Amino acid sequence: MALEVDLTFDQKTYRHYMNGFLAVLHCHHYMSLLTKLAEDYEDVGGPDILCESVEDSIRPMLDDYFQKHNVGTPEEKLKVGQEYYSVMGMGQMEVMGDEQGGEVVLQRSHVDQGWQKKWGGNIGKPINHWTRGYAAAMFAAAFNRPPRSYQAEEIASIIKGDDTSKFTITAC
Amino acid sequence: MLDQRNSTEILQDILDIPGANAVVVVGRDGFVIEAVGAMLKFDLDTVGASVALVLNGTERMEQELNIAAFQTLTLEANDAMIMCTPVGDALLVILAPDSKTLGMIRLQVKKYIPELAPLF
Amino acid sequence: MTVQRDVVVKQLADIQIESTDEGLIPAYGVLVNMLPVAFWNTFTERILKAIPDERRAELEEALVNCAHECGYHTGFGIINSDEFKSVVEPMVTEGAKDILRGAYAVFTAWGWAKSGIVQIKEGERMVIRAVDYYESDGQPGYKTAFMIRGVSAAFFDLAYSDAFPDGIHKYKCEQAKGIEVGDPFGEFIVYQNE
Repeated sequence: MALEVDLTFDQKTYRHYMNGFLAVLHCHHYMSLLTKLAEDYEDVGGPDILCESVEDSIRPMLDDYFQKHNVGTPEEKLKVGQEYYSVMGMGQMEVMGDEQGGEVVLQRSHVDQGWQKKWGGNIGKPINHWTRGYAAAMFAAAFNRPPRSYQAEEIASIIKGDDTSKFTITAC
Repeated sequence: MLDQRNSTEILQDILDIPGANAVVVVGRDGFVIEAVGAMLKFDLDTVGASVALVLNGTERMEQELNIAAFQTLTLEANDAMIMCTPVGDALLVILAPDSKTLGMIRLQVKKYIPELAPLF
Repeated sequence: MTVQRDVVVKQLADIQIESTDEGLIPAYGVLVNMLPVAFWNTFTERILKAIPDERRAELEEALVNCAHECGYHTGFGIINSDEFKSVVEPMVTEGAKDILRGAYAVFTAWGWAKSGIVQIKEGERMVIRAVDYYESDGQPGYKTAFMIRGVSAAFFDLAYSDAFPDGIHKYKCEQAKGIEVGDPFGEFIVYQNE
């Protein structure tokens, strides 16, 4: 199954749409700096705000795609989530799991590799809050459950020197 | 001393000149900086792009003929009159349905240029 | 001859941004992503809501800085890219001014803001207007165009400060008007940092 992606450019407003959703191009500097900003504001919940902002903005795109393309089974839905991730330039993902939860493995990661490009190595802790939110959205959409139904924890991280980043996803 | 007026206020005054339907300020690259009035049948972005195209051609003509930069450029057609005047680094473009009041527009617009030019 | 922005926007918007087999989008010397606008706006809105009033100004500056560094590095990549050299450079006859005009055409083509230059006083000051920009979408009642502020300051750094990579933060940018606060357009003033 190849993801169908319709990229359009509105000649009047000069805005981009991805499968009907307003989208914008940004670079790894911006992503790294916003991730760092979330970390710097941990005392007000920065990392979770970042994570939940992803979950809440990605979920409608996934739901919309499932509906318009008659994607029915959870396995197919997780596959769509996996492919969307790559289309958006966020990296290469493998997903496995069921309604109780599962695992997401990143072979390539925009967030981690972008961070390394910008600042170099290891800061001693994982920083990919973006993908935590994405994984939560993907599982909740696949199993048709409301937001915050899943929690993702990053247990291995490219930024920490691991070969791949790994997330365990747990149903709340 | 009077406070300096903003560009919108000045453009509104220009729009009051009899015959002027719309007043547009276009950057040299064709970016529509500001516009007031009714655009007749024109799309605003297309007006900007067309003005930039004409400006490029005019500048080339000035170079080829070794003449000074233009002060006013007027296009008179059966169903439209378009007048362009440099203001700072941009162009003031006046759109009218015909050229019946061209003389009045040209005369009146002149007095606003010194006030408008420092803003662009 | 000067940069014709409609030509630049149309040509650059037609360039297909596609990810590699590894799910990454390397372009302009950076890794690019294409994400829903809702994500960027939601994050900004929620973190601003979470911060106590006394720390709000500091957070806003940090948000601007994210875009400033992004604009500086990506902007450098863009103006040195093959695409910029082939599309924009043939129209450049007024040096830094035309490079900036081209940069705002790219800014527009990337979907950041339908924006352009109102005035440039070379090396001193620049005024930008944006008639449509995604940061205004939430209509939160306060000025939110932190990204345009940062990128505009970065572009002026690239045009008039020390050579890359040593010229960042010579200039800063303030937002004078905003669609999100009821103005007909957003207006941004770039000036020298004290």
